[in-house]
Amino acid sequence: MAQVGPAGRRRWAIAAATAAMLWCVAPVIAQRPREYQVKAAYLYGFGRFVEWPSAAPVSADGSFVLCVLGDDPFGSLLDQAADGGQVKNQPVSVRRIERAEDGGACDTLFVSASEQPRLPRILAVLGHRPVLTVGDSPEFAQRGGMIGFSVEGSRVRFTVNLAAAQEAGLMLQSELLRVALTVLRK
Amino acid sequence: MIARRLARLNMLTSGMALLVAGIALSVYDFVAFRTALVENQSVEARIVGSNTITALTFDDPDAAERTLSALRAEARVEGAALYRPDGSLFASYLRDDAVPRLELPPEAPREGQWSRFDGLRTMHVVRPVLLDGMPIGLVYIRSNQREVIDRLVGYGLIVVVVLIVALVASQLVSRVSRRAIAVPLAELAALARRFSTEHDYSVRARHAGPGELQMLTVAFNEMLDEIQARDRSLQESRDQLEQRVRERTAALDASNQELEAFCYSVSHDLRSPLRSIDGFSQALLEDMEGQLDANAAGHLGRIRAATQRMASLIDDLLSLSRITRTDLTVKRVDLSAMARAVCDELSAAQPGRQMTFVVEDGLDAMVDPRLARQVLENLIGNAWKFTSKQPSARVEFGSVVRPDGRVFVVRDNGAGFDPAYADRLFGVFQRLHAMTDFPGTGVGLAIVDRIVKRHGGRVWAESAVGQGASFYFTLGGPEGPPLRT
Repeated sequence: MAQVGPAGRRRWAIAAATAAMLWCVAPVIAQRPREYQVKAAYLYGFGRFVEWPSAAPVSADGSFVLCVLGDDPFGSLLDQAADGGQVKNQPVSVRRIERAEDGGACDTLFVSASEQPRLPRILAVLGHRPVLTVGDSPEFAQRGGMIGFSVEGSRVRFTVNLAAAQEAGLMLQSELLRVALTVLRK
Repeated sequence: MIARRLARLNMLTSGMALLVAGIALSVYDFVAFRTALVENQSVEARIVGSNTITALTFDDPDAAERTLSALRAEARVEGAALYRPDGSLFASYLRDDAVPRLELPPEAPREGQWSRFDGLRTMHVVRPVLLDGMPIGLVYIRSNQREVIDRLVGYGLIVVVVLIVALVASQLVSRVSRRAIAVPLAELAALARRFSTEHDYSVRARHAGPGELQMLTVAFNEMLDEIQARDRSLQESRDQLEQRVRERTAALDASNQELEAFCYSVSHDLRSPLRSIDGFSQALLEDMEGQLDANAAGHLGRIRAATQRMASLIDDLLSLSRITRTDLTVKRVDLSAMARAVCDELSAAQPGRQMTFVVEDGLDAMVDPRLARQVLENLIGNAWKFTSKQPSARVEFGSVVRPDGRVFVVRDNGAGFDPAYADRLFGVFQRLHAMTDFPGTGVGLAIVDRIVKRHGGRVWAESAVGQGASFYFTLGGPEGPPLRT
C-alpha cells in the first residue's frame, strides 16, 4: 500500500462523489445501513446452509473467509457481524479484494455492484471453484452468479441459481431454497 | 352377627387397599402420561423450530407459516407461533376451530424451554430456536390433549371395575372364611348363651375351624366339664344336706310330738287319780265328821290342799303344751281394752286391795286374741301378785316407741327381782321367790315367753330388788335389743 495506483485514485473519487450524493438524498441514506445490515447477516446465514466440497480452499488459519470484491457497501457492518461470530464452527475473517483472481481463496465472495460490468470475466476467472458467489442484484444470479439479492419494500429477498452452485460442487440445503424468492434450475 | 361384621371388615379393608392403590396408580400414570405428552410436544416444537431456522434467518414469515401449517396434520395442536428474539410475532398458525386466540403465556420465559398445563387438557410448550447455539427465535405450541381426560376416565372405569370385582371376590372369600371361623364362633356364642340362660351344662361345642379356634373350643369344653363336675358335686352335697335336714326335722318333729303327747297324756292322766284322792279325802272328811280328831282332820285338809295345788300345776302344764299345739288365728286386737278387762277381773276377785291401774289408750296389734289375753293375764296378774305387800300399789300397761317398732311394757312398783336371774325368769317351774311370800306354779312367764315367740316377738324383764319390775314384750316385727332405760 506504499503507492496509490490509478484504480485507488478513482476509488477515492467515486467515494467522494458518493458521499456528496448521499449527503443530498438523506432520507435514502437512512434506509441503506438497515438494508446492508440485513444483507450482511444473510451473507453469514448463507454459509450455514451451504455445504462446501471437502476439496474447498481452507485458509491457513482455519477460518471461514468472507470476501468483498469491488467497492464495499457494508462499511464496518461485515466486520461487526464477524466479530466473535462463527460459521461452520470456524471464526470468520473478512477480506476485501480487488482482483477476481484473488477470489479463489474465498469461501463466500460478495461481488459488489461496482464490479457488475466485469461480471462475465470474474465468473470465468472463478470457473468451477467452490466459491459461493453473491451479488447485489437479481440479475447477478441470472447471469451466472449463485445468489442475487433483491429488495422488496423493506424486505431483503434473494434469487438462487442452483445450477451454478451445483456446477461449482456446492450443496445448497433445501431450506435455503425454500426461503429463496426464485430458484433457477437447469 | 360376628360373621357379618368380619365380612364387612374384610370388604372394607380390601376395598380401601384397592382404592388407595388404584388412585395412587392413576395419579402416577397421569403424571407420567402428562410428562410424556410434554416430552412429545417439545420434540415436535424442536422439529418445527429447526424447520423454521432459515425462515427466521432470511426473514421469511411466509415460509415459516408454511412450516407451522404442517402442524395441521396433528389434530391435538390448536395453534403454534414463532417469535423473534425481541418478542415480536414472526409467524403463526391457528387451527380454524380453536376457540381462544393464540397468545404466548405471559409467564413463559423469552429464553429456554418451558411447558405448562392449563387445567387438564390445554398444554403450552415453548422452545427456543437455536442456530449455532444462538437463540434466533421462540416456538410456542398450544395443544388440546384430549387423551388426558380419556385416560383419566379410562383409569376411573378400571378402578371401579376392579373394585367391584375385588369386592365380590372378597365377599366370596369371606363367605368361605365365615364357614371356617365365624360360624364356629357364632356356635360358641350361642352355646355360651344357652349355658347362662338355661343352665344346661351337658352340651359341648363342636371341634372345627383353624388352630386357635379349635384351641378355644377345647378350652371351652374343658371349662364346661369343670363347671358340670362342680355343679354335680354341689348338687350332691346340697341333696345330702337337704336329706339330713329332712331326717333331722322329721326326728325332731316326732320326738316333739311324742313329748307333747306324753306331756298331755301325763297331765291328763294325772288329773283323774288326783281327783280321786281329793274326792275321797273330801268324802272321808264329810262321812267321818265328828269322829276324826283335829289332827286327822288337819292331815286330810293338807292332802286336799296338796292335790289341788298339783291339779293347778297340771292345768298350767296343759295350757303350756296347748300353746304350741293350737294354730294362731291372728286379727287386730285392742290391747288397751283387753288390759282394762283383765284389771277389772282382778279387782273383782280381790275387792279389798288398794290398786292403781294406768292403761295407755289405743294400743292394738295383730295377734291371736286368746293368747294375747293369756299374756296380759299372766303379766298383769304377776304385777298384782308382787305388789300385794305394797301399801300403795300401782300397775301400768303402756308402750315405748323405738325406731324398729313398738315395745309393750307392764310395769309395777312391787317386790322386783335380782337382775342376775333375769334370764331364768322365763323357764318352766323357775321361781325367784319363796312360795310362802308369793304363791305360784312358775309356769306363767314360760307361757308368756312361748306365746310371744309364736308371734315372732320377744320378751324380757328389767328390775332391781324392791324397785318394782318392768316386763317388755314385742309382738311380731323385728327384734330389738333390750331397752336399757
